[in-house]
Amino acid sequence: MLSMQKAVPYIALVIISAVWLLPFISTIWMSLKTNAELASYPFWNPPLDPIKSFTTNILDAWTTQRMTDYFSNSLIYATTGSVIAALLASIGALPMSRGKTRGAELVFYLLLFVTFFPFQIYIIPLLDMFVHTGLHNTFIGMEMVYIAITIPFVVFVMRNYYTTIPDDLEDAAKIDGLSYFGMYRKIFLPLSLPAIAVGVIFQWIWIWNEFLIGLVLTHTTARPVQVGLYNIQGALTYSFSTQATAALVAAIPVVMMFLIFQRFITRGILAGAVKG
Amino acid sequence: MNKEKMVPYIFLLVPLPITFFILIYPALVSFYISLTRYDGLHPPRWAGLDNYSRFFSDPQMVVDMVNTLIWVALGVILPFLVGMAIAILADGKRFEGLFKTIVFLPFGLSGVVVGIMWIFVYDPDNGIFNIILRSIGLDFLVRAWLGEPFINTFAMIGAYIWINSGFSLVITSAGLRSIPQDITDAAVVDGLSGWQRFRNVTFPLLTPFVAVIISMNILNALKVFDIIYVMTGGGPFRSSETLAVGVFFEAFSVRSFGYGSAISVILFAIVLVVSVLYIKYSYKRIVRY
Repeated sequence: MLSMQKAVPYIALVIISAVWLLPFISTIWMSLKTNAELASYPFWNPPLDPIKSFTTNILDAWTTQRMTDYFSNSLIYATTGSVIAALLASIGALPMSRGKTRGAELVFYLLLFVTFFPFQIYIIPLLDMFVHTGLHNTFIGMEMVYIAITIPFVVFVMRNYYTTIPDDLEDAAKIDGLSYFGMYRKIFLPLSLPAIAVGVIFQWIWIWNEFLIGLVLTHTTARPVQVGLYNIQGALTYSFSTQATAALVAAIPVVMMFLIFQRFITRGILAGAVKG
Repeated sequence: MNKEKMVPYIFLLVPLPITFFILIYPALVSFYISLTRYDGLHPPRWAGLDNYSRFFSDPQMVVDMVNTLIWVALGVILPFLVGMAIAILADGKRFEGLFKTIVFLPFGLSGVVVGIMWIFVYDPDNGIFNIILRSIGLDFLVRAWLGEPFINTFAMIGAYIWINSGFSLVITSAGLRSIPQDITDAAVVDGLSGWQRFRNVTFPLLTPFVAVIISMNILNALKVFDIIYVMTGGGPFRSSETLAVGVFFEAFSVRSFGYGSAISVILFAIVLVVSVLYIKYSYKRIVRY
């Protein structure tokens, strides 16, 4: 009886895990079939030629649907965007953490406030601005928006991390004759690398997953991966299995990041993650 | 003031210009556009509060408000309960990490990927949801889950629970770890049953964490866009549209920037009220500890 009681939570956990994995499994299953096969055979019918179908789907997504371009666009956006944002934020957050710069607290709360803005509040004028300044559908334009949106969160993380660094270190740096910039570069920047890592990983994932901004501010060339993925739905020759395969591949970088950096990501969430 | 004393101020200014030009200035312009008639092509014409009075007499906005409320009510409470239940269930068990990772994983996926996966799940013929219903003899429930007004909102919230339970799971797990072992031990020694322990010891100690989950869930549920846009596009006949999607529809499909902006200002006002409450609460929390 006791062992029965012990088994119940495990049975529940296994059922929950199965339910949670089901959408993944069904998508993987679809990616192993051709679209024609999906239409003419029952769903649970095993894939006729999984490897060939999967390759066909990948090729379809990557050539006809131009996912290659959108994939590399988003790699560039996510990588450069998250690093630049983290760098700018790590500089800006320093005076906010030391309590000696007047107005720093105010700037911190202003940035914190901005993280709560729904995109809808700035997207319409932003489109207008971008069309008139020629930034619409450009890499620079998209990069600017991504950096701006990701900065406040990293500032928040960095400032909280800096406050754990004791004032003694700052005093010692002054006695050693380090300038403010020297103190940032030689002491605070190297010490705060774990926090920067949290910021970069978090914002990399965020930019990779971003959809709405890309939908409004790009067409064709500068399109990010999520918009490309969505557009397969409206393609002339829409194929379920192509979209399933493309969705899986678009999810791979994020899933990998989640599995590798789970500890960092959890820490980022606990530091007050704001999604969307 | 000497040069060296200026440096911290320069540091402080570094992240500001881009934030101002990309986020703050356009947000302010939205307020202005909401007071005009504007299609993005011809110059805006002053319209006073017309767009706002239109909002309050537009039957579509009643639909949007109701859907937003459903999203907030269920999108806040259900992922919270499911995530917390799984955290408590898995706590201290073998393979705890594995179970948690599985539930946490969807939290990292984009709204588009999730939307696509769940369009497949809900597919009327080939979707696993209907297949499972048929196989357990619930054929009468089988339907086009995303095609029927009203029901589609609940179907999409199902996908939302799948994504967001991971958030509640992570926060609750951190909360459980923050509870000192001797307190739980004392409760066991006092002979409290599992439920009593949870009700009288664990849950009260989790309250600050619960507050974070609830307030973040409210903010996120108010802003849900990607999932709805991908799964139903707000349709059929704008039946599953929320305020966040309505802004998009009015601004970019109808090209009525003024009305779209007015809706965005109203959405912003709602988010603002919730945010202020959140910041106030979490600030208090920091002080208390």
